[in-house]
Amino acid sequence: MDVGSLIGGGGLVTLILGTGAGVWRWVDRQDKKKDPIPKDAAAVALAQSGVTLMQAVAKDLETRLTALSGSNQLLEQRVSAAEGTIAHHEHLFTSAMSYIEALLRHIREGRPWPPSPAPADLRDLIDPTLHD
Amino acid sequence: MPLHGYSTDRRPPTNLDHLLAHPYAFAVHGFQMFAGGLVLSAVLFQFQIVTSALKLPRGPLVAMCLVLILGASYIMRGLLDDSNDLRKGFRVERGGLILSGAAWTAFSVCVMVNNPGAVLQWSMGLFFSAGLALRIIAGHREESRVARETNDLKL
Repeated sequence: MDVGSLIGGGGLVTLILGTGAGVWRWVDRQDKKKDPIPKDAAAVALAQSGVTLMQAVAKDLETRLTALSGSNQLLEQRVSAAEGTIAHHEHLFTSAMSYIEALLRHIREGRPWPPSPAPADLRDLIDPTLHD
Repeated sequence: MPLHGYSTDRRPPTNLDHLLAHPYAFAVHGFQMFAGGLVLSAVLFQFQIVTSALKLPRGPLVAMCLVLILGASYIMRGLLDDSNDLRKGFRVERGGLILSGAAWTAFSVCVMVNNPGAVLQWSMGLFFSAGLALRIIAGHREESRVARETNDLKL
């Protein structure tokens, strides 16, 4: 019998099926030697591994929250500093407006020169030769 | 990994739950049983169907049909298993997967030899065999994971 007719005649098919059956018998015998896995114990173990997984997620979230809280504190400091700067500028603006008004009144009323000296808080902004 | 698989809180799950959890497995192995049964009936009761597998001698052909039917029934039994030992379901299913893989590979080889132009038929058998091999690996990994976590709980 030549190879072609052996294959076509079912030799290869028989060989594959025989190998499959042999492997099945061997694997089945190996599997039967293994310890059983009780369903209840497995359910508890899997639930516990789920809890462990959730704990890992919670820990990761906590780390992120701590980092976020740190960056939030920095942000709050910067906002607080910016608020201080704004308040200072508002104060300077109010002083400057009052001084300008005083100067304008001084000119309109024709009082003798020089006018009153520049207020102390505006001195840093005004040319020192014009302070008095 | 997205949880697209069907799951239920019902204990024990019903057969419909099993069916919804493994729809492709039940569909493919239902077809496998049907195909094996049909060819076997055609051989035994002498009625006409068209498949290259009929060119095989009677002995190997009957054996292939029986292995197809046996493999599919083992897989379904394994998937429907609700016994207290989880190992049993994996073991029965694995046996069915090995037998089914052998039967579909044998079918593909048979069609390839006798009718190489029927690409869809023999490639279908090979794809089924590849899928069955992947399922053997997946089942083995899942069984090992469950066994490991159960042992960890005992320690």
